[in-house]
Amino acid sequence: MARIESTEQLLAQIVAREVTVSETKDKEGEVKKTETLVQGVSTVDYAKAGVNLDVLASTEHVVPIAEAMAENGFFVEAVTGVDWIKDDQMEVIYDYNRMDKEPCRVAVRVRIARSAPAIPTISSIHPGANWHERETHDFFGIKFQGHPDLSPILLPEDADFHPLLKDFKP
Amino acid sequence: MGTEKIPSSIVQFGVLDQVLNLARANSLWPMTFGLACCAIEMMSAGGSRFDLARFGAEVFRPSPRQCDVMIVAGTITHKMAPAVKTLYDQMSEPKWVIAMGNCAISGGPFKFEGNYSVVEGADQFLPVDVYIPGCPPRPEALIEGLLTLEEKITGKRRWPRRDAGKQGGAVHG
Repeated sequence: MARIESTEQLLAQIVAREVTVSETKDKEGEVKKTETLVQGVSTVDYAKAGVNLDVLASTEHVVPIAEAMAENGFFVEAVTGVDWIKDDQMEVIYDYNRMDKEPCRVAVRVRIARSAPAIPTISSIHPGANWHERETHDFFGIKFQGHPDLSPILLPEDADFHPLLKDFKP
Repeated sequence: MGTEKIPSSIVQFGVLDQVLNLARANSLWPMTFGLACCAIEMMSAGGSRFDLARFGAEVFRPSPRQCDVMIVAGTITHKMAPAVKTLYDQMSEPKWVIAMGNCAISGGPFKFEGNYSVVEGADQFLPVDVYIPGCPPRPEALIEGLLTLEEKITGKRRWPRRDAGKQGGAVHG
């Protein structure tokens, strides 16, 4: 538990908390304010989400978060992408984990624009992310700025299509 | 690679050809070409329980120059296909190909309308001699495939076919 809290505080220092407040009227006509988190760290139920901490961040936080995670003994498990075509955005998800007496799993989600998607690379801090970023570029077309070699890793070398986009037609 | 009726080489040895074919069939050296899950079944067939050694086929050679038969065991992706063709071309005559598993026969479970990465069958670019269906085929099925290939080479089957369903498992050739 202490690990989760300390990591939450560490990440909250990097990612400032932002919420959007929306007002809805319920059945009696009373105004209810609901807060949705736009940016920030939240603790989630591990049994439901599979992670202890869920971080919504933006592209300028990616490298500071990676450095903080590396200093605190976390390793990157996976880097993957999601195509939110209806929002005209793509999302890059980083999974960090630390397996010792106090395990803690962190998911960092970053939303980027869908046309010309770009995000800084973390492969200089976590070398294991090198191939994950290559795979994400292969399947979504997300450009990782500063990556040494974004050639196709699973698709043929001359492939010019990105299969996991929602509007991909083979 | 020809049958008994079609001359397969310029020099015909006559009866010696039959002996040569028998020798080739009884010592088919496969190439280790396990691409995916069927490789596990192929390894299992080479193990002690199912034992390919009794057919002379236990010697899996990693070099294509030393092989007779290429058992394509697994899914062929578009990225892997040029490598498969290169290795097939490097094998010396006489050579045969066994397509093991549904992926090597027709793309298997990966043949669907949005398929972008899997070559739908080894016979798209290789001449296949024996097809072994299954996902994955059992090691006994791989042995049956090798016996079928031996039958194709020599014209005679090594062991008589066992008739399923007859009482006591009657055996007839």
